[in-house]
Amino acid sequence: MPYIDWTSLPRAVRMHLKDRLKDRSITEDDMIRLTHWIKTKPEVPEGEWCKDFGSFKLAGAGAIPKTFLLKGQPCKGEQILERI
Amino acid sequence: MLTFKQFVTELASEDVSLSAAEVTEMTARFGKKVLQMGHIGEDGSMLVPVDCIVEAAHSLGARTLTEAAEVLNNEQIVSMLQSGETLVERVIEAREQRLREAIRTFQNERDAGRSHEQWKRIEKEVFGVDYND
Repeated sequence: MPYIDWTSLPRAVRMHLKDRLKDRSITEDDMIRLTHWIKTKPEVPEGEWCKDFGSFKLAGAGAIPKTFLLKGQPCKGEQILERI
Repeated sequence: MLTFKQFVTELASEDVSLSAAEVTEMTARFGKKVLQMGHIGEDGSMLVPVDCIVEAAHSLGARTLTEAAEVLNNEQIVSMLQSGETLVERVIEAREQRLREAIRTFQNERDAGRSHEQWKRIEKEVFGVDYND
C-alpha cells in the first residue's frame, strides 16, 4: 500500500483549501485532525480513496492526493476509516 | 554539557533535529504520538520546533523536567516515570496551539499579502512541505 506523496498536491487544490479555511467552511479543529492524520504517515489504497475529516474530505488515488471536498459532497473510492 | 554560546545558538535555531534512530527509539518507548512532535524527513529524521520544546519545558516545572531528561537518557526507567511521555505530549500540545493561532491569524487577516504569508506557514506546518509557489 502506498504512502501519500504530499509534494504532489496540486497548487489549485491547495488554494481551494486555503479559500475554504479562510471563509471558515473548513474548521480549525478539522485542520488539526488533518495534520494529526498526516503525521501518522498513513498508508492508502492503490485505487481511489476518500478520508472524511468532518467539515471536509480528502480524496485521492494511490499516493496522489487529488482534491478537498466540502461536507455533503460525495466522494468516490474506498473510505479510510481508521481513527485519527 | 553545552557551553553558554552553544546553548544560545541552539535556542536561536528554528528547529532541533532528531536522528532517524532517535525517532525510532522514542516511538518504541512512547508510541506513535512521537511523530506528532515535528516534521519527518525522507531519511526518517525529525525537525522539532525549538519554541515548542521551550514552551513544553516551561510547562513541566523543574522537577518533572529533570525527571523527563533522565527518562529520555535512560531506557530502563521509562516504566517508573511518566515525565518523558508528558514532555512529548506537551511538545505536541505546543505545536497544536501554534497551528491554531496561525489559523486564527490567517482567518482574521484582511491584508491579502500578509494573509498569504500566513497561509504558507500553515501549509508547511500541515503538509510538512515548503511548496515553491
